[in-house]
Amino acid sequence: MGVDMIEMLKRPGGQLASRPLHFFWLVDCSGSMEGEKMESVNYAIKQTIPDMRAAAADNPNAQLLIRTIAFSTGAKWVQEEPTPIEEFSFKPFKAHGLTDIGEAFGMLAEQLRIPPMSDRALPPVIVVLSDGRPTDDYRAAIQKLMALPWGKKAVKIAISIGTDADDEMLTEFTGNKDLVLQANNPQALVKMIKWASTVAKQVSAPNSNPTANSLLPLDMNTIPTEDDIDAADVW
Amino acid sequence: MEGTLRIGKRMFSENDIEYEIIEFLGSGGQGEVYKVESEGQYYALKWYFKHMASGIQKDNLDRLIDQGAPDESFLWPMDIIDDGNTYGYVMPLRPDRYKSIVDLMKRTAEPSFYHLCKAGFNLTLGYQKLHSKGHCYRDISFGNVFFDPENGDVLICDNDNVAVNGKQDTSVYGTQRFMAPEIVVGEAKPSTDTDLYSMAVLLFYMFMLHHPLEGKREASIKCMDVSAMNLLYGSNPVFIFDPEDTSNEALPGYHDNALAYWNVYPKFFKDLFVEAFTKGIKERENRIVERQWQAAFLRLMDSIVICKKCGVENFYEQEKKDEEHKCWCCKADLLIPDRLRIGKHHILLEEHKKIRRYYVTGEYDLDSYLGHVEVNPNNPSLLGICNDTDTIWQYKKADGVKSQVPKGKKAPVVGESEIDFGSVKGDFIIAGSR
Repeated sequence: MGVDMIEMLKRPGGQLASRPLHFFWLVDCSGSMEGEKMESVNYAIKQTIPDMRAAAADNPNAQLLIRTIAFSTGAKWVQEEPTPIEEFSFKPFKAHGLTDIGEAFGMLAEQLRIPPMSDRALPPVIVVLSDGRPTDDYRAAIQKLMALPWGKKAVKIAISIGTDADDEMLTEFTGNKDLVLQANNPQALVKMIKWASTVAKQVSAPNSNPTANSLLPLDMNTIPTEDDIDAADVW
Repeated sequence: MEGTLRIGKRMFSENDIEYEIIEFLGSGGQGEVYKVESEGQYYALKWYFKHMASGIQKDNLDRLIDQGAPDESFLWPMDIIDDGNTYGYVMPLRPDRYKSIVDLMKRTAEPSFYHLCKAGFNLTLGYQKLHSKGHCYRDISFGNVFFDPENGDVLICDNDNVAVNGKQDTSVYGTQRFMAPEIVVGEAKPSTDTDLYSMAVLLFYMFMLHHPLEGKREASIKCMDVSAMNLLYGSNPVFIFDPEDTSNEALPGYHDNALAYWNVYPKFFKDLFVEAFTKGIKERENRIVERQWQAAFLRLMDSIVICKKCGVENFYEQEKKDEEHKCWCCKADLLIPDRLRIGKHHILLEEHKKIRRYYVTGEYDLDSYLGHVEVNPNNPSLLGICNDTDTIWQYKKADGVKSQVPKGKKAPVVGESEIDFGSVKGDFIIAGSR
C-alpha cells in the first residue's frame, strides 16, 4: 500500500482477505505440435490474459497466480514464479522433441507440496494441452501428483489436440472423461483454451446449483460444443 | 477483448428502435455487455450467449419491461433486441462515477462512513421497493450493486434475474458466499426471504470488509473447495460474532478487518448483524427487513463524531461514558458533543447539524428535516435547535417555565430542559455530564 493510499484511507482495516489460486498451463511442445498447432496455442493462451485479468479484477476473494510448464524432450518451467495475472506476460512456447509429460507432472508435483504451496488456498487449476502419446513414465508421475493433498484437490482439465492425442492418459490425469476437451481444429482449440481459462473464476466463486449435486465447481453446460465450433476444419 | 457483435452493427429492437453497437464492455457467465447508441443517447445492451437465451428468460424480460423499474436506482430492462439466433435487452448505461462493491473490497473506492451509510440506506430502500412489488432479486452479490463513494447514490444492475416471489423457476440460485444456507443445502429456492439474507451478507461485507461466517473454521480449512464452502455457508453456518457460540469466532491475523470494524460501530448496529446471522439463519421468516436497516443507517449517520486530532470519523456509542470514547485511528480522546435524546435515540448536536424528521414522525427519509443546530451569537458555547417546521414546539426549562418555539426560533440546548415536538418529547444530554 503506497503512502498516498494510507493518507486517503477514511476507514480502518485493509483489503478484503483473499486466498491464492494457483493456475498452471502444462503445454505439449513436442515436434508434432510444430507449426499451426503451436502457434494456435500461443495465440489462444495469450488471448486469455485480458479476460482473466478482467475476471480477477471482479473477484476480490481470490489472488490469481499463473505458471507455465513446457514439455517435450524433458520438461521445463517457462514461467516458474507464481505470477499475479495482473503482471503476467506471456512467453510463447516452441515445439521440438518428444512428449515427456511424466516429467512435467513430476515438476508440478514438486510445486504442489507444502511448502512451497501455502497451506490455505483455493483449489489449484491445472490445464494440460497435448496432441500425442507420452514418451516417458507418466503413470508414476500422476500417482505422485495424486498422492499430494493439493494434487488431489486440484481441478484438472485436459485439452486433447487432434486425433493422435492419448485420451486415456489424459483421462487418468483429469479423473473425469468429460474434462478431456476435444480440440480437433484450430477454432475448437481456441475455444477450449478460452473455456479452460474461465475455470479460475468458476473455482473461486462458484455459481452454485445445489440440485446438480456435484462437488465439481464447474458449469459443464458452458463447455463449447460442436454447435459452437465449425467442425469442417479438421487437422 | 472483443465480443460476438460487430462494432458499428445496427439492430432494430422489438419496440422498433434502431440501436448501433458502439463498444464491447465485457462478458460474464450469461452473456456479453455492449455500449449502444440510439438517437444520440447511450445505453447498455446485455446480449445473452445462445445457450443461456431461454424462452423463460425472455418471457420474464417482457414482463419486467411492462412493469417498469421500482425506482431510478435500478438499471431496469427497457427493450429487447432479437436477431433470431439469440437476444438481449437494453437498459440505462451506468455512469462512471459509480464504483462496484469489488472496488470497495479492494479499497480502490474509499467512501467516508457517512456516505457508506447513505449507500446502505439507498440500497436497502431499492430492495424494499422491489420486494414490495412482489418481486425477488435472487442473486444479490458483489457484481450487481454499484455506488457513488462521493454521495452514497446506488445502482442495482443485472435485473434480468428478478422474478415473482414464489415462482418456481430453477434457473437462478445465486452466488456462493451470498446464498442463504437453505439454498446452499438444497432445501429452498431463492425468494424474498433468501434475498434478505443475501442483503445482510452484502451489508456485512460493505461495513466490515469481511464475510460474516468466515472465522476460526474458515482459518482451519486448507482447501476452500465446494465441499468446504457448502459446510461454511450452508450446512453449518456460525456467525463469527455469535455471542453464544464462539466455535467460529474471528481470529487475529486471519480476520483482522472484521475485528477492527467490530470495535468501531455502536452496539445497536452490531446487534442487527448478530440477529441477522444467528436467529436470521435459523428462522427464515424472521430475518432483518429493509426498514430495520434503514433505521439503523439514519441513526448511524447521526452518531458520527469527527476526531478533533486526526479528522477521521468515529461513532458515538451511547452505552459508553463520554470519556471512554477514543479515536480508532489516532487513539486520541474524542470530544463528545451535547445530545438531543428522543426515546432511545441520541442525536449528536453540532453547529449546522440537521435534525431528521424520522426521530419525531418515524418517516424513513434521508433528506427530511425538522430543524437544525445553531450557535448562540451572544454565547458561542451555547447551542440552540432552530425550528424549521410550521408546528410550534413547546420548550420547558429546568425550572419548569414554559415557552413556545415557532418556526425560525431556537430552543436552547440546556441540561434538564425539554422540547415537546407535538407527538414526542426530547431532552438534552450535556457533554461530559454522564
